[in-house]
Amino acid sequence: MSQDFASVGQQFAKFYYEKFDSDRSQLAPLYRDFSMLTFEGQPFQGTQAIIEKLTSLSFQKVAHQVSSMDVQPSSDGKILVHVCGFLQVDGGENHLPYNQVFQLVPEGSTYYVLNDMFRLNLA
Amino acid sequence: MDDAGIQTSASCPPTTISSSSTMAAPPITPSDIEIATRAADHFTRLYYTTYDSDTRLADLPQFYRPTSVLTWNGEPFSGVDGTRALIENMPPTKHEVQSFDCHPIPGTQPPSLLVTVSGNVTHGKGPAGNPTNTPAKTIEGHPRVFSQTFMLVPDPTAPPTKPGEVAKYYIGADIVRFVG
Repeated sequence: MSQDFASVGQQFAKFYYEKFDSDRSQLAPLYRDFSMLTFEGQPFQGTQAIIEKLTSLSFQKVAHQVSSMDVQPSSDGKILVHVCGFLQVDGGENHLPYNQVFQLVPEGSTYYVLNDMFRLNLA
Repeated sequence: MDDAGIQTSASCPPTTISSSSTMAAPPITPSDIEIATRAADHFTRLYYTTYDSDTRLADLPQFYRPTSVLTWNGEPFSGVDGTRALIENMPPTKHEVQSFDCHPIPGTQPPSLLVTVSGNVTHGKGPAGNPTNTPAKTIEGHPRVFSQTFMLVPDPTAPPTKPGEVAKYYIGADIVRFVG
């Protein structure tokens, strides 16, 4: 049981970034009407607002490279995923460090994203 | 307390919950968001001040409970004892918070808070801060960028003690990573 959350977290992140990097609009099923996204400090709530934000980001191509991923169980079967990595945008040379936190909630045989916080880490 | 260096993004989302929502979780209210922002701001200042203080070995574990789960650059620790073990071996630190984001988590009143912090941390005191008998290979501080995420849980056994305070929170989950 204790290994399950780690592999759920990892599988989720892999799936999420594959979709994000190929076609961000396909992320819609991962969110719900009460899901929350904070993107570079800007808040969004609900699938529609979230997907609108993600698909309106101005780059054409993006590639996420995950450097580290930490997964912890949260209350009631929820899962916390903390990702550090780099973004490469439009094939440019810069690899921008970012971190992202997800909280996943079980629903039937799958999970959805209740919380999503994304920051570029340019500190 | 001085605000310099903390760029607080009060980034808790708006409260509209669509009527097609099917989950049983109660909606987030404006009051929840105000609580969340205030509590997260207060918490991060207090936490890092404590971490950077001389009394951290006594004071920092009090933020945690036996059920707390910590991961420090991939290394797991658990509970109050785990926190102590981590802090005992940690050189002195100086944290500088650049930003934090928080989400209130529906389901309890007051809500739990998911907080993620970005900043830098310097370990060690550097040569100027070392006593004269310090061995030559003591760590000199270079700032490291860190990313830390907390799940703050309201403590049912610790009612608020100050006016305006809504709840005392403890750290249920804690993940730290140094970046780069």
